[in-house]
Amino acid sequence: MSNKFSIKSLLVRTEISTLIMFIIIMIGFYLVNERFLDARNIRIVMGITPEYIIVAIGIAILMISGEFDLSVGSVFALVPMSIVQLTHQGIPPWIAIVLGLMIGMIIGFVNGFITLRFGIPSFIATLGMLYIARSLTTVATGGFPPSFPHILPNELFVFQFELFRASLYWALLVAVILGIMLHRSNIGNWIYATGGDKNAASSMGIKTGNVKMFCFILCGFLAGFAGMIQTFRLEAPLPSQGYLLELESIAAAVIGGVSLFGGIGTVFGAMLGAILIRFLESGIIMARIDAEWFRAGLGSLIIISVVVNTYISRRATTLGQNKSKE
Amino acid sequence: MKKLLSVLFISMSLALTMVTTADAKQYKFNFVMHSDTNNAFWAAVHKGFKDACAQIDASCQMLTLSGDGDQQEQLQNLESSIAQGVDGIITTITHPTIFDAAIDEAIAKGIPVISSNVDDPEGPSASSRLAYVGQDLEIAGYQLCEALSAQFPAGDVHVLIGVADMNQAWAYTRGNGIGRFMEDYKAANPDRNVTYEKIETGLDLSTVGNRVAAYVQANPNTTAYLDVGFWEAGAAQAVRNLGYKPGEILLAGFDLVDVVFEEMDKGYVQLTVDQQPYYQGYMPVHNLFLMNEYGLGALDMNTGKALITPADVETIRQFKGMAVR
Amino acid sequence: MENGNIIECKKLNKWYSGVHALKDFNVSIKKNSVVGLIGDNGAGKSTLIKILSGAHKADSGHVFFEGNEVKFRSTKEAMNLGIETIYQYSALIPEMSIARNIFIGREQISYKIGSLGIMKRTEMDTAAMDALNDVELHLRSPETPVNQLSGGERQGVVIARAMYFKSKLLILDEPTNHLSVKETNKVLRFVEGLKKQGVTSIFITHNLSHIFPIADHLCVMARGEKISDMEKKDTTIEELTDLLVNG
Repeated sequence: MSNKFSIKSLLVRTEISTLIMFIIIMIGFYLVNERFLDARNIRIVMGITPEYIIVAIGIAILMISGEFDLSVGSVFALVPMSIVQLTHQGIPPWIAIVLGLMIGMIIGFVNGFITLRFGIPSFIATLGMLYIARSLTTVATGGFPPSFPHILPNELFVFQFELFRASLYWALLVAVILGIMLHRSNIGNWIYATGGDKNAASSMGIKTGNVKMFCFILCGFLAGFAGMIQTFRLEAPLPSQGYLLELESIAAAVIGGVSLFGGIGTVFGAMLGAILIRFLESGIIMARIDAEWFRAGLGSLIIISVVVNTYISRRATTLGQNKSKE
Repeated sequence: MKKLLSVLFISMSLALTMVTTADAKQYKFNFVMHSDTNNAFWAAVHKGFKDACAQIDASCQMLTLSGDGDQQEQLQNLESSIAQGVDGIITTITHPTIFDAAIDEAIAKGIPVISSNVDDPEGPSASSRLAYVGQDLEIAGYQLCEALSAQFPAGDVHVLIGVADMNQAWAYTRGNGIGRFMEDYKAANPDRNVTYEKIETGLDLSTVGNRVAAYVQANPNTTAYLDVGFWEAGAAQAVRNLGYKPGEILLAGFDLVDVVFEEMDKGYVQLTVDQQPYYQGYMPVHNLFLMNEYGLGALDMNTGKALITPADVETIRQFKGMAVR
Repeated sequence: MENGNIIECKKLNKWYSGVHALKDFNVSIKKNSVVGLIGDNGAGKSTLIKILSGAHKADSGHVFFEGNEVKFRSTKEAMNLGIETIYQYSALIPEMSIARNIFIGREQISYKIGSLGIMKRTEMDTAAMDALNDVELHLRSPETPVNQLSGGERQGVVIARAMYFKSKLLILDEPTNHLSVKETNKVLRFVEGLKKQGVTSIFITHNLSHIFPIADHLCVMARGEKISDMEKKDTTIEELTDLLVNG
């Protein structure tokens, strides 16, 4: 009897429980204030969400490979600040964009290099980079916030359509490409293997160091790209951008089913986690609950989602093992 | 499965309790600001805000930030308030451009917007907000430094200006005012070596203390330090630890906060400026109420730039306990 | 050296932080045979295995595979030549499906760019089921995560993987250690069958009763050296036990 499409196998997927929580939150806050699901509110929330989706996906993939990046918030600010300043220096806009994104990739590379070469926990290496990159951002402002040069092609990335912004389509593009990479390609298999059991993966010939380095660079790139989109939307580079973003995006990934220990998680889950957090924040303000409760709500959500997801996967494992003993 | 169902059940009942506690028809006003709950200055604003709302039985929400100075978060709060459909918004405007579009939209939707505490740094013509309640930041900075200069010793003068956050309008505008005075002072004293420097000092006591301490050790000729917020109190603690006596380095800043009074008592801080924050929370609420009820207009209000010296501390202390000053 | 030896080790030496783990080790392994490599803990068995599988490099000495000298720089190089290793901890990724585990590092891909590409999942699933059937392991679905399988089933998957990739030499590192009697039996029957399929196996263990019945040749190690090397017909379990304990 094939249980390929049984309800149980569907429930094993941690994204399903995230989806359920998302639906509950949407319904719950709608009941409190109808305007929560108003076109206008959806437009506002989905206007900023793509930026968080992109970072969450980047950090999720890195976490699946077994590492962390706490510097994403600082890269989120540094890359667009660099792009703006380069443009002010007279560099053609698209070249400035490419150079800026390369800065994000270089930081990812440095994070990976320090972690892998010196064998220190990525948590620590990237914590140091968090401060360094934030400092570099302040240096890049030259002591006074630069204006936004309007020759930068920001409309291409953030144009507001009826309901959604162009950035949402960019985020979906990122999600689709990286979803295919992670779930359908061989390098995705290596990422799961490296995070799931590094020793097993390397005995089977996978170059785990290269796999991790790829994920570090990708994470840095995506953090910079997302920051660029936010700056394009605000039409102002803010050195305070991305404050606390590292913790929030790890939270989004974890709520979406990514494991802190590596080897487990999906792009869809990370995306869903990011969307969920944004709507939670909006809902709390809409419900006129003290905004301080946002953090309490977010914290509870993280705990609940991990408890539920762990419970589900444990049940599935024991069920499977019981079945094979029959 | 059971656990999943119980999670579902708990969440739904939570949602339902929120429905029952939602307010009936009454005016809703939101205060959007740029600081977090740890900033002592805002306690008086918040009290003014709450007191006014209680008097007219309005539902009021002050949206604090999780990151002090996170303008992107502040913008989100502003947009959420507009989406909620409130009856009036009070907001600080700490950036020349990013809040403009949202404020325009609020006005277009018929939601009156009054700025409080910090106005658009480009001036009233650059924003569609209907009025400003607060201090004239630039002039306050100028006059603070002017008053402090009376205590400058003879001979060369070197002044350090602490601009808490170079990207926030309230900070750099005050800093500009102080700087403008120093320019005038330099011009008025051509026979003396008058210099000044601005650095970014931070938004909390210990950070500012550390940075000023480092600066003063590298520049022992520093005559005075002026902070654009109340964090000269942190500088006071730091220079005391370095062995400086009260008044050896003149210290001044803004706002009436307990730590500042303590340092005034100890003689380390010479001057501070009162902007009467209670008014900044209180007046806009009543203004918005009257605009909604009787269609009256919005009123600008200069909440003052009273210079407070150590002699005034006792009187003010009485009101400190009530969290109104 | 066309003398029917698949592996020849000459004067292999390896040091691990001052410990001389392998001392001038020599051995010849005939094709299509089952060789039992026995020794107590610390004898140097795992060191030898790591060198043969490509995980580590010998400090001095030579290894010949099918008559040619080889110096492996990675496990992948050894695997490419047909040397597969079944590790003590099964080299399986727990949360991953059987099919993905079988093809790990050697995924079947299309739309190639260099060595990267999209996995052919249907083909891999079918091939996985075939590989499992070939080793008489009948599991429900190739999508099952391996952490839902029993210990013996996991070993079965690992063996199926090695067989699928046409190994010429299969090194089994204490494969029956944590298995039930039934499952141990399965593994031993299976290793016996390898000879007919043209596969040589090196079976490492300190459990003589497991290996003695199926081995052609037995090699005893102690303190990094080979202390005995005999055909099964020339020795007995008792003699070997004696060597193990007292050698």
